[in-house]
Amino acid sequence: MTESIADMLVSVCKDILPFYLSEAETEDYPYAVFEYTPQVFRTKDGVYKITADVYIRVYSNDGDEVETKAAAIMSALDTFAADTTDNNGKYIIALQASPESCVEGVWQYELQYFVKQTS
Amino acid sequence: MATSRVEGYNVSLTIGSKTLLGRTQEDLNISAVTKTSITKDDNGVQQESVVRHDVTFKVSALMSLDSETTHTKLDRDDVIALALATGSSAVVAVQYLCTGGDTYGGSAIITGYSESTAADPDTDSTISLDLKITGTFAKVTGGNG
Repeated sequence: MTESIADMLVSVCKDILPFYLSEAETEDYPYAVFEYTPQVFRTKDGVYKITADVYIRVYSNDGDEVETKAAAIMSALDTFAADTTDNNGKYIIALQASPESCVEGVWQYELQYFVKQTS
Repeated sequence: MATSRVEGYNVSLTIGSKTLLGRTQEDLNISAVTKTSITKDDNGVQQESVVRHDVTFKVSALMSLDSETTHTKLDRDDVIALALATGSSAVVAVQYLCTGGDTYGGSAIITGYSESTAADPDTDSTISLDLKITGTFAKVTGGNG
């Protein structure tokens, strides 16, 4: 089994707003950056489960926009996780927390997820 | 002489020629059973001698079911059937293999089986199997050493 959590997140979120791993490649708001820490679990025959704490940080200079984009990401991930077809059924995506903050006119809405990928 | 560290996935216990499906851990324990004796010639110092060995295994695995008709591994239902066997059916042939090392074999009985299941989706359901060698546990084939 190959780890595909990052690819899945990009696939689900890339049409909502510019969506980057670790570092933004734009200075134009809004955009989102995500980080994750995958942990691999094995049987003696190979990998059977990968879990990760995922942090998606949505940035905007508009307080309403940051909430709208964050809500769209949450909705998209909920929809994806609820789809139990073979392709989607291998992910469990659970929202843990969603703190919001504003520093010097830039709003940040952080979505903290637990993601589990199984084979 | 070169040395090599053995990775755990290169060690396996086969039960009736099959390993457990989803196995995560296989533990071997060999305990010497000793006899204590003392004669007047021992000058008050007890003597210990090994009379036999108790050889046990503990195998842990994810609780898994194999939907294939021909099972190449033992799934949860196979293991329960083995654990509930009685009489001569309860004796299984086992081999303990280590890639590059010696292979040991013998006959064993299943002395315990347990399952652990939880509601939390992040907690794996697991099974655990205890075996005890009956009779001899001896080298079957040699390895590189």
